[in-house]
Amino acid sequence: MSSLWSAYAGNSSFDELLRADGQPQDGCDEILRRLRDLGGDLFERQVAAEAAIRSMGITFTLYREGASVDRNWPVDVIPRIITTEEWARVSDGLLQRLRAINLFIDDLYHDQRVIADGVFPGHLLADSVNFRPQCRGVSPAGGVWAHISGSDLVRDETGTFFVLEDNLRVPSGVVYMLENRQVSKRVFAELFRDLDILPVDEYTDRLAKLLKALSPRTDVDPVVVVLTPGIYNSAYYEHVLLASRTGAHLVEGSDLVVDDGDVLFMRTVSGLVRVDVMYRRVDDLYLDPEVFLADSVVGVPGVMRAWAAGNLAIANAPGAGVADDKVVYSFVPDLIRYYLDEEPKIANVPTWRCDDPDDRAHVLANLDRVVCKPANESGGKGVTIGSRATAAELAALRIDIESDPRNWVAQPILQLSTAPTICGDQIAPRHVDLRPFILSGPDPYVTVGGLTRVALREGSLIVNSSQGGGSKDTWIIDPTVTPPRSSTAAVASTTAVASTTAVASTTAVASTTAVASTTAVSPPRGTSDV
Amino acid sequence: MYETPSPLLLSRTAEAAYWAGRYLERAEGTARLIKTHAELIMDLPRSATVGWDPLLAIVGIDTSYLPPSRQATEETVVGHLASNVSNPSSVRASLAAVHRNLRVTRAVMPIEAVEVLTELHHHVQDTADQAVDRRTRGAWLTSVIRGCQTLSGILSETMSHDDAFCFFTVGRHLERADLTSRVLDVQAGVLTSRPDDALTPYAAICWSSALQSVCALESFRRRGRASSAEETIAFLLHDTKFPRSLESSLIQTSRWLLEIPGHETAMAACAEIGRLLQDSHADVLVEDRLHPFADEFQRKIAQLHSRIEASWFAPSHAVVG
Repeated sequence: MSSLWSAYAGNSSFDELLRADGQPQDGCDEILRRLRDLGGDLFERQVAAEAAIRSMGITFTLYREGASVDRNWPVDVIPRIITTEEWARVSDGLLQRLRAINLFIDDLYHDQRVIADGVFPGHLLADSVNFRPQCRGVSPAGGVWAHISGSDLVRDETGTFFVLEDNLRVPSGVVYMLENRQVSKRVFAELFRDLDILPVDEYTDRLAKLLKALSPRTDVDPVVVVLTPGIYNSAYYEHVLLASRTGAHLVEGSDLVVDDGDVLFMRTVSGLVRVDVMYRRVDDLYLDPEVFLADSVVGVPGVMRAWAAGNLAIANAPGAGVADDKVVYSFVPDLIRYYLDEEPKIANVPTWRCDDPDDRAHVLANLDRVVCKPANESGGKGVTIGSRATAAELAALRIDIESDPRNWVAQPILQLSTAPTICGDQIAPRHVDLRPFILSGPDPYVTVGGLTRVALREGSLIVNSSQGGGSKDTWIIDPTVTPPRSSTAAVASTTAVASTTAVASTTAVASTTAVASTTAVSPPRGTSDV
Repeated sequence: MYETPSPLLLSRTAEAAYWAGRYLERAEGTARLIKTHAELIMDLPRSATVGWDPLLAIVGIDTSYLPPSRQATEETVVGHLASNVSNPSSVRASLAAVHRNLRVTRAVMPIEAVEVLTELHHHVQDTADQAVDRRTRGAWLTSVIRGCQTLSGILSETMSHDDAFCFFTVGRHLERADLTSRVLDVQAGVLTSRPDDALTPYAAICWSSALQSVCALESFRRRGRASSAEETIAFLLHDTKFPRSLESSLIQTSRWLLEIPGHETAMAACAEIGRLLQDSHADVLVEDRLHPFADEFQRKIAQLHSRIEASWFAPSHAVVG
């Protein structure tokens, strides 16, 4: 075996592809063999993938020194593999989780049974920055508030999946999951032919169906819009693709107006057209200057009136972010038991709430051995990994926690799983997480896999693309389907060479034939100088 | 026959499509102008004193008031028109504007067009300095022109000819009419202002160059005409077979405007431009009347633009659905 994989010796983390003894993980035999056979060709595939991303214009936007710059989306071509069997278990767990979370949100905005029954402490709600009193008493269709969510999953050193956090406001990344697949189909065409890799494209159809199903008007074909903060938003690329693939209109706040009858309209070249469903990619607080931040320029004055009057469906519903709080997260296993009378199918990462005096004492005594997270940030902001922080950073963190304990949680530092990643001229283990997306509504759905994010620096745990993280395509593979090709390495590599040659010569022959036959059979065209 | 209603189009998206069309045409037109003028200068004697300032005049910049030390040199003019990012009409800035506007309309565009645009945008932003160097200029300008044409071609051949496409196409033809009228104006100015000067023997070359700069030379020649002022002006004004003449550009603008509901006031402005063209005869325009004609023509184009803006980009609040 080549030295390309030598960086794998002594990897102490759980690896998605390779066990510590150098053998493939369950169900990964064929794929590992094929990857190893590719040898240095893998690097060419990586170059091809980057070229494809550049020409397909797959970008994300970063803010640097007050300006926004487009960056090409970073992808590592070596796929991350999960078996169908394992994925079925994870999907079930996610659907269960979202059922409970939606019941919880609906309860908070109505009777607050969960507080009366002593399962969730009332004072946490009173101090919640994402609880919106303006939403009390509103009843979205089917009691669903968080229609589109993305939960971050990690595996520990035993390979067990845990939920690290739930993103219920405006989770992003799903389009990159779809684009990563387009790219890997371009560069690994032969693997898609030979292996049973489940397709991921169904997501946008399911999303389109879900959004239409939310329409309050059932007698007309609903008008659906995607509300974006605009072309300089970091996720604008995603907003464009979601709109075009679901057949929705991509709108900005200035395209919309609410009339005195609490109906939302969009400005078109033919005049005002009524809007039925809004998939908003704008945070609650910017949604309606009449109700929330008065100086918001990306929102729509009156849109909350239209929603509360039942003339407009909004996904995710305003106020859904109350459950995005990392303190609430720590209660989700209890919420599953309380609302569903079931045991959680995927575990939470153990979490200490600094609001609790005993937990706080433990955290403060072990700051250098835990990960501290502010309760209501996203994108990895404000997270401190104790073992990697300086004494000064830990001192500052201590002050932050002591002055606002309600807004801090801590978790043990997990040894995240790794996956083989191209690093320079080596293939090395790098830490990964996984963000699947969950649709909640009449017909719930979990993406086939999700977006795998990878920390590109050695040992790093930071996977966010805004902080230098990369991504991988996630392949859900049914290992029980036998690949059509024979199974020894020698034969496989011969096949590879042979097929390259075959392709080249076939192309040549085919095109010659085509030219010849065109000349022969087509009637003379143009002038006589042919 | 299978008929579907045009999908709803946001005013903002319509405006972006229209400007994408205008800037795409401007980028292509400006690239061709620079290329042609560079070739013309090589053919003219040094004594002819045709510098690079006519090019600036075409895009609406007057340098006559500048001191001699700040006169337009080849390097400054080409830099200004091709690669200067602070000149909003430079080739580079125009393509950046196309990119920006098509970002807004991206949701209604075919993926192939997005790919070509992305490549063209990166290419131009990365290599714009090649426009200034004489050795690389020709190849660079050709690559830009070809990129613009590829993009127009893909859009015409793959995009639904719905309202978004109509606005894009109206923008292109309106910009094209504007550009052709400027070429005429400036070229005539160069020749008629100095009738006794060393340039007279080269008048035919100059008019050929004018034709070349709107890609009309071959079409013109095939009609068997001599490169005289009168013939050239007549061709660029009235030839309905050549797609970049004023008449053709106007016909195309009207044809696509007619597809868009609510076109009445915009069409009235088109009709005014049509009357102006009808009343303008090449033999009369040759002398000193070409400049006032071009001025009037551009004023009416600006009026058409305002009507388009008022009709669709800032519509009334009538509820239609």
